[in-house]
Amino acid sequence: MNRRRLLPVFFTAAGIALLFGIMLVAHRMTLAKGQDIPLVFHHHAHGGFSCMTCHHDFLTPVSTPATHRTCIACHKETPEVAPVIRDQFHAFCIGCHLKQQGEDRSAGPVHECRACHAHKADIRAHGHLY
Amino acid sequence: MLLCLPVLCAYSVFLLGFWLARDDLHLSLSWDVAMAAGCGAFFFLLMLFTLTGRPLPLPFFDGKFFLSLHRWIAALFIGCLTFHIGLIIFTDPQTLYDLWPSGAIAMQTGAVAAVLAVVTGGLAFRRVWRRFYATSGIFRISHAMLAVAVLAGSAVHLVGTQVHLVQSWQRELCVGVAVTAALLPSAERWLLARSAVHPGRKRRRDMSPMAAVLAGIMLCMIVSETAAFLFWRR
Repeated sequence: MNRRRLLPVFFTAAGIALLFGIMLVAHRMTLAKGQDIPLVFHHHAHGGFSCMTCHHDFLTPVSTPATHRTCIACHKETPEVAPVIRDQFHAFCIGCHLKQQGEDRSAGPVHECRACHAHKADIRAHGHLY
Repeated sequence: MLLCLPVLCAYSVFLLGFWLARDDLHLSLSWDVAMAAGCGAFFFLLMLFTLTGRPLPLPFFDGKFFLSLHRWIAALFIGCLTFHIGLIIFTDPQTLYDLWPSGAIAMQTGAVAAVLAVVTGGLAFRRVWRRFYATSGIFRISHAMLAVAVLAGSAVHLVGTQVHLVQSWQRELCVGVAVTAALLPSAERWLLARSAVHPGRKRRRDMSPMAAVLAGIMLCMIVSETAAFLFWRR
Protein backbone atom coordinates (compact mmCIF):
# COMPACT_ATOMS: atom_id res chain seq x y z
CA MET A 1 0.00 0.00 0.00
CA ASN A 2 1.23 3.48 -0.86
CA ARG A 3 2.90 5.05 2.17
CA ARG A 4 1.40 8.44 1.44
CA ARG A 5 -2.07 6.96 1.60
CA LEU A 6 -1.38 5.78 5.13
CA LEU A 7 -0.56 9.30 6.31
CA PRO A 8 -4.09 9.89 7.74
CA VAL A 9 -3.70 6.76 9.87
CA PHE A 10 -0.38 8.05 11.16
CA PHE A 11 -1.92 11.46 11.88
CA THR A 12 -4.83 9.82 13.71
CA ALA A 13 -2.47 7.85 15.97
CA ALA A 14 -0.27 10.92 16.51
CA GLY A 15 -3.30 13.10 17.25
CA ILE A 16 -4.69 10.68 19.84
CA ALA A 17 -1.28 10.30 21.50
CA LEU A 18 -0.72 14.08 21.45
CA LEU A 19 -4.10 14.86 22.98
CA PHE A 20 -3.72 12.39 25.85
CA GLY A 21 -0.02 13.31 26.18
CA ILE A 22 -0.67 17.06 26.51
CA MET A 23 -3.37 16.35 29.09
CA LEU A 24 -1.07 14.14 31.20
CA VAL A 25 2.00 16.40 30.94
CA ALA A 26 0.00 19.55 31.77
CA HIS A 27 -1.60 17.77 34.72
CA ARG A 28 1.75 16.50 36.04
CA MET A 29 3.43 19.89 35.56
CA THR A 30 0.65 21.72 37.37
CA LEU A 31 0.75 19.31 40.28
CA ALA A 32 4.55 19.53 40.43
CA LYS A 33 4.29 23.32 40.72
CA GLY A 34 1.91 22.89 43.62
CA GLN A 35 -1.00 24.56 41.84
CA ASP A 36 -3.77 22.40 43.09
CA ILE A 37 -7.52 22.51 42.76
CA PRO A 38 -9.22 24.82 45.27
CA LEU A 39 -9.96 23.44 48.71
CA VAL A 40 -12.08 24.60 51.60
CA PHE A 41 -12.57 23.20 55.07
CA HIS A 42 -15.90 23.88 56.76
CA HIS A 43 -14.49 24.55 60.21
CA HIS A 44 -17.85 25.20 61.88
CA ALA A 45 -19.24 21.92 60.63
CA HIS A 46 -16.47 20.12 62.52
CA GLY A 47 -17.04 21.98 65.79
CA GLY A 48 -18.41 18.90 67.53
CA PHE A 49 -15.13 17.05 67.32
CA SER A 50 -12.05 17.27 69.46
CA CYS A 51 -9.55 19.76 68.01
CA MET A 52 -6.81 17.16 68.35
CA THR A 53 -8.55 14.88 65.87
CA CYS A 54 -7.11 17.08 63.15
CA HIS A 55 -4.61 19.34 64.95
CA HIS A 56 -2.30 16.50 65.92
CA ASP A 57 0.57 18.92 66.61
CA PHE A 58 -1.38 20.50 69.48
CA LEU A 59 -0.18 18.13 72.18
CA THR A 60 2.87 16.67 70.46
CA PRO A 61 4.62 19.46 68.55
CA VAL A 62 6.24 18.37 65.30
CA SER A 63 9.41 19.76 63.83
CA THR A 64 8.83 21.04 60.34
CA PRO A 65 10.53 23.51 58.01
CA ALA A 66 7.08 24.77 57.00
CA THR A 67 6.57 28.52 57.11
CA HIS A 68 2.77 28.32 57.19
CA ARG A 69 0.87 26.54 59.92
CA THR A 70 -2.29 25.71 58.00
CA CYS A 71 -2.91 21.99 57.61
CA ILE A 72 -2.31 21.84 53.86
CA ALA A 73 0.66 24.24 53.79
CA CYS A 74 2.43 22.42 56.62
CA HIS A 75 1.95 19.04 54.98
CA LYS A 76 3.01 20.43 51.60
CA GLU A 77 6.20 21.97 52.95
CA THR A 78 7.24 19.02 55.07
CA PRO A 79 9.34 16.81 52.78
CA GLU A 80 8.49 13.56 54.61
CA VAL A 81 4.74 13.85 54.09
CA ALA A 82 4.54 16.02 50.97
CA PRO A 83 4.53 13.09 48.48
CA VAL A 84 1.53 11.45 50.14
CA ILE A 85 -0.45 14.58 50.94
CA ARG A 86 -3.31 13.84 48.55
CA ASP A 87 -3.84 10.25 49.64
CA GLN A 88 -3.30 11.12 53.29
CA PHE A 89 -5.92 13.87 53.39
CA HIS A 90 -8.39 11.97 51.26
CA ALA A 91 -8.05 8.90 53.47
CA PHE A 92 -8.31 10.98 56.64
CA CYS A 93 -11.37 13.03 55.65
CA ILE A 94 -13.26 10.36 53.72
CA GLY A 95 -12.39 7.68 56.27
CA CYS A 96 -13.91 9.75 59.07
CA HIS A 97 -16.99 10.60 56.98
CA LEU A 98 -17.49 6.95 56.12
CA LYS A 99 -17.18 5.99 59.77
CA GLN A 100 -19.87 8.55 60.63
CA GLN A 101 -22.11 7.20 57.89
CA GLY A 102 -21.55 3.66 59.14
CA GLU A 103 -22.81 4.74 62.54
CA ASP A 104 -25.93 6.25 60.92
CA ARG A 105 -24.87 9.77 61.86
CA SER A 106 -24.92 12.77 59.55
CA ALA A 107 -21.60 12.90 57.79
CA GLY A 108 -19.59 15.07 55.44
CA PRO A 109 -19.08 14.30 51.78
CA VAL A 110 -17.64 10.97 50.77
CA HIS A 111 -17.56 11.31 47.07
CA GLU A 112 -18.88 14.76 46.14
CA CYS A 113 -15.51 16.31 45.20
CA ARG A 114 -16.81 19.85 45.07
CA ALA A 115 -18.14 19.85 48.59
CA CYS A 116 -14.49 20.31 49.64
CA HIS A 117 -12.82 21.39 46.39
CA ALA A 118 -14.46 24.79 46.05
CA HIS A 119 -13.08 28.34 45.96
CA LYS A 120 -15.09 29.73 48.88
CA ALA A 121 -16.39 28.06 51.97
CA ASP A 122 -19.71 29.81 51.79
CA ILE A 123 -20.61 29.05 48.16
CA ARG A 124 -23.10 26.34 47.47
CA ALA A 125 -20.67 23.64 46.51
CA HIS A 126 -23.05 21.77 44.28
CA GLY A 127 -24.77 24.60 42.48
CA HIS A 128 -28.35 23.44 42.24
CA LEU A 129 -27.94 20.28 44.24
CA TYR A 130 -29.30 21.33 47.59
CA MET B 1 -37.02 -6.27 16.31
CA LEU B 2 -35.12 -9.39 17.31
CA LEU B 3 -32.21 -7.15 18.33
CA CYS B 4 -34.32 -5.38 20.97
CA LEU B 5 -34.56 -8.23 23.46
CA PRO B 6 -30.78 -8.87 23.75
CA VAL B 7 -30.25 -5.10 24.02
CA LEU B 8 -32.80 -4.89 26.83
CA CYS B 9 -31.20 -7.83 28.69
CA ALA B 10 -27.69 -6.43 28.16
CA TYR B 11 -28.76 -3.02 29.46
CA SER B 12 -30.36 -4.58 32.56
CA VAL B 13 -27.11 -6.42 33.35
CA PHE B 14 -25.19 -3.22 32.59
CA LEU B 15 -27.32 -1.14 34.98
CA LEU B 16 -27.17 -3.73 37.75
CA GLY B 17 -23.44 -4.24 37.37
CA PHE B 18 -22.46 -0.60 37.06
CA TRP B 19 -24.93 1.19 39.26
CA LEU B 20 -26.20 -1.11 41.96
CA ALA B 21 -23.33 -0.73 44.43
CA ARG B 22 -23.95 2.93 45.23
CA ASP B 23 -27.12 3.21 47.23
CA ASP B 24 -26.20 6.55 48.78
CA LEU B 25 -25.52 8.39 45.58
CA HIS B 26 -28.66 10.36 44.86
CA LEU B 27 -27.63 13.98 45.11
CA SER B 28 -30.45 15.46 43.07
CA LEU B 29 -32.75 14.39 40.28
CA SER B 30 -30.83 16.35 37.65
CA TRP B 31 -27.53 14.85 38.86
CA ASP B 32 -29.02 11.36 38.68
CA VAL B 33 -30.39 12.01 35.19
CA ALA B 34 -27.00 13.36 34.06
CA MET B 35 -25.32 10.21 35.41
CA ALA B 36 -27.95 8.04 33.72
CA ALA B 37 -27.28 9.82 30.44
CA GLY B 38 -23.56 9.10 30.84
CA CYS B 39 -24.36 5.48 31.63
CA GLY B 40 -26.54 5.31 28.51
CA ALA B 41 -23.81 6.92 26.42
CA PHE B 42 -21.32 4.26 27.50
CA PHE B 43 -23.85 1.54 26.70
CA PHE B 44 -24.46 2.97 23.22
CA LEU B 45 -20.69 3.18 22.74
CA LEU B 46 -20.42 -0.53 23.56
CA MET B 47 -23.25 -1.21 21.12
CA LEU B 48 -21.33 0.61 18.39
CA PHE B 49 -18.59 -1.99 18.80
CA THR B 50 -21.17 -4.78 18.49
CA LEU B 51 -23.16 -3.36 15.58
CA THR B 52 -20.22 -2.09 13.58
CA GLY B 53 -22.08 -1.62 10.32
CA ARG B 54 -20.93 -5.02 9.04
CA PRO B 55 -23.90 -7.19 7.95
CA LEU B 56 -24.79 -9.80 10.56
CA PRO B 57 -26.61 -13.10 9.96
CA LEU B 58 -29.56 -11.86 11.97
CA PRO B 59 -31.62 -10.02 10.80
CA PHE B 60 -30.87 -11.12 7.24
CA PHE B 61 -30.98 -7.58 5.86
CA ASP B 62 -28.64 -5.83 3.48
CA GLY B 63 -25.53 -3.84 4.45
CA LYS B 64 -27.28 -0.48 4.25
CA PHE B 65 -29.52 -1.44 7.16
CA PHE B 66 -26.55 -2.22 9.42
CA LEU B 67 -24.66 0.89 8.35
CA SER B 68 -27.71 3.03 8.98
CA LEU B 69 -28.23 1.37 12.37
CA HIS B 70 -24.59 2.03 13.27
CA ARG B 71 -25.06 5.71 12.37
CA TRP B 72 -28.27 6.01 14.36
CA ILE B 73 -26.68 4.41 17.42
CA ALA B 74 -23.71 6.78 17.00
CA ALA B 75 -26.18 9.69 16.96
CA LEU B 76 -27.78 8.36 20.16
CA PHE B 77 -24.33 8.03 21.73
CA ILE B 78 -23.39 11.62 20.87
CA GLY B 79 -26.82 12.80 22.03
CA CYS B 80 -26.52 11.04 25.40
CA LEU B 81 -22.94 12.30 25.77
CA THR B 82 -24.01 15.91 25.08
CA PHE B 83 -26.89 15.56 27.53
CA HIS B 84 -24.56 14.06 30.17
CA ILE B 85 -22.00 16.86 29.84
CA GLY B 86 -24.54 19.67 29.51
CA LEU B 87 -26.68 18.61 32.45
CA ILE B 88 -23.74 17.93 34.78
CA ILE B 89 -22.32 21.40 34.02
CA PHE B 90 -25.75 22.95 34.61
CA THR B 91 -26.22 21.00 37.86
CA ASP B 92 -22.70 21.40 39.10
CA PRO B 93 -20.95 24.30 37.29
CA GLN B 94 -17.73 23.65 39.18
CA THR B 95 -17.23 20.57 37.02
CA LEU B 96 -15.64 23.03 34.60
CA TYR B 97 -12.71 23.39 37.03
CA ASP B 98 -11.75 19.88 36.04
CA LEU B 99 -10.85 21.14 32.58
CA TRP B 100 -7.91 23.03 34.09
CA PRO B 101 -4.69 21.02 34.14
CA SER B 102 -4.97 20.70 37.91
CA GLY B 103 -8.39 19.03 37.68
CA ALA B 104 -9.10 15.37 38.28
CA ILE B 105 -7.31 13.31 35.65
CA ALA B 106 -10.27 10.94 35.20
CA MET B 107 -12.53 13.89 34.36
CA GLN B 108 -9.98 15.22 31.88
CA THR B 109 -9.74 11.79 30.26
CA GLY B 110 -13.52 11.85 29.91
CA ALA B 111 -13.35 15.30 28.31
CA VAL B 112 -10.65 14.16 25.86
CA ALA B 113 -12.74 11.06 25.04
CA ALA B 114 -15.77 13.30 24.39
CA VAL B 115 -13.74 15.52 22.04
CA LEU B 116 -12.43 12.43 20.23
CA ALA B 117 -15.99 11.06 20.00
CA VAL B 118 -17.15 14.20 18.23
CA VAL B 119 -14.09 14.13 15.94
CA THR B 120 -14.73 10.44 15.16
CA GLY B 121 -18.35 11.16 14.32
CA GLY B 122 -17.46 14.22 12.25
CA LEU B 123 -14.84 12.36 10.23
CA ALA B 124 -17.30 9.53 9.52
CA PHE B 125 -19.52 11.66 7.29
CA ARG B 126 -19.14 10.38 3.74
CA ARG B 127 -18.21 13.80 2.31
CA VAL B 128 -15.62 14.39 5.01
CA TRP B 129 -13.86 11.02 4.98
CA ARG B 130 -13.65 10.99 1.20
CA ARG B 131 -11.66 14.23 1.40
CA PHE B 132 -9.21 12.96 4.02
CA TYR B 133 -8.82 9.26 3.23
CA ALA B 134 -7.76 7.68 -0.04
CA THR B 135 -9.69 4.45 0.46
CA SER B 136 -12.47 3.16 2.68
CA GLY B 137 -9.99 0.64 4.14
CA ILE B 138 -7.72 3.41 5.41
CA PHE B 139 -10.73 5.27 6.77
CA ARG B 140 -11.81 2.12 8.65
CA ILE B 141 -8.37 1.76 10.27
CA SER B 142 -8.40 5.40 11.36
CA HIS B 143 -12.03 5.17 12.52
CA ALA B 144 -11.25 2.04 14.54
CA MET B 145 -8.23 3.70 16.18
CA LEU B 146 -10.29 6.74 17.17
CA ALA B 147 -13.14 4.54 18.40
CA VAL B 148 -10.80 2.47 20.58
CA ALA B 149 -9.31 5.71 21.99
CA VAL B 150 -12.84 6.93 22.83
CA LEU B 151 -13.65 3.59 24.46
CA ALA B 152 -10.39 3.57 26.46
CA GLY B 153 -10.90 7.18 27.56
CA SER B 154 -14.49 6.48 28.60
CA ALA B 155 -13.50 3.36 30.55
CA VAL B 156 -10.75 5.30 32.37
CA HIS B 157 -13.30 8.05 33.10
CA LEU B 158 -15.75 5.53 34.57
CA VAL B 159 -13.15 3.65 36.61
CA GLY B 160 -11.13 6.70 37.65
CA THR B 161 -13.96 8.93 38.84
CA GLN B 162 -15.15 6.12 41.15
CA VAL B 163 -18.64 7.58 41.27
CA HIS B 164 -20.47 4.37 40.57
CA LEU B 165 -17.69 1.83 40.16
CA VAL B 166 -16.57 1.72 43.76
CA GLN B 167 -15.90 -1.97 44.21
CA SER B 168 -12.96 -3.73 42.64
CA TRP B 169 -15.16 -6.31 40.84
CA GLN B 170 -17.03 -3.45 39.17
CA ARG B 171 -13.81 -1.85 37.95
CA GLU B 172 -12.58 -5.22 36.68
CA LEU B 173 -15.95 -5.77 34.98
CA CYS B 174 -15.72 -2.36 33.30
CA VAL B 175 -12.19 -2.98 32.03
CA GLY B 176 -13.19 -6.49 30.92
CA VAL B 177 -16.25 -5.21 29.06
CA ALA B 178 -14.19 -2.45 27.37
CA VAL B 179 -11.44 -4.88 26.29
CA THR B 180 -14.05 -7.36 24.99
CA ALA B 181 -15.82 -4.57 23.09
CA ALA B 182 -12.52 -3.43 21.56
CA LEU B 183 -11.79 -6.96 20.35
CA LEU B 184 -15.35 -7.74 19.26
CA PRO B 185 -15.28 -6.21 15.74
CA SER B 186 -12.20 -8.26 14.79
CA ALA B 187 -13.70 -11.42 16.30
CA GLU B 188 -17.00 -10.75 14.54
CA ARG B 189 -15.23 -10.28 11.23
CA TRP B 190 -13.22 -13.50 11.73
CA LEU B 191 -16.32 -15.51 12.64
CA LEU B 192 -18.45 -14.12 9.80
CA ALA B 193 -15.72 -14.91 7.28
CA ARG B 194 -15.76 -18.54 8.42
CA SER B 195 -19.48 -19.15 8.69
CA ALA B 196 -21.73 -19.62 5.68
CA VAL B 197 -25.13 -18.33 6.72
CA HIS B 198 -28.19 -18.95 4.57
CA PRO B 199 -26.21 -19.99 1.45
CA GLY B 200 -27.98 -19.07 -1.74
CA ARG B 201 -30.50 -16.83 -0.01
CA LYS B 202 -30.39 -13.12 -0.74
CA ARG B 203 -30.42 -10.50 1.98
CA ARG B 204 -33.59 -8.45 2.25
CA ARG B 205 -33.00 -5.07 0.63
CA ASP B 206 -34.14 -1.49 1.28
CA MET B 207 -34.49 -2.00 4.98
CA SER B 208 -32.46 1.06 6.07
CA PRO B 209 -35.56 3.07 7.18
CA MET B 210 -36.15 0.23 9.61
CA ALA B 211 -32.84 1.10 11.32
CA ALA B 212 -34.18 4.49 12.48
CA VAL B 213 -37.28 2.82 13.91
CA LEU B 214 -35.14 0.21 15.67
CA ALA B 215 -32.83 2.87 17.12
CA GLY B 216 -35.88 4.80 18.34
CA ILE B 217 -37.30 1.68 20.01
CA MET B 218 -33.92 1.00 21.65
CA LEU B 219 -33.78 4.56 22.97
CA CYS B 220 -37.33 4.33 24.37
CA MET B 221 -36.54 0.98 26.01
CA ILE B 222 -33.33 2.26 27.57
CA VAL B 223 -34.90 5.52 28.80
CA SER B 224 -37.88 3.73 30.36
CA GLU B 225 -35.67 1.07 31.95
CA THR B 226 -33.34 3.73 33.38
CA ALA B 227 -36.31 5.72 34.71
CA ALA B 228 -37.73 2.58 36.37
CA PHE B 229 -34.31 1.77 37.80
CA LEU B 230 -33.79 5.29 39.20
CA PHE B 231 -37.30 5.28 40.66
CA TRP B 232 -36.59 1.91 42.33
CA ARG B 233 -33.20 3.01 43.72
CA ARG B 234 -34.45 6.35 45.04
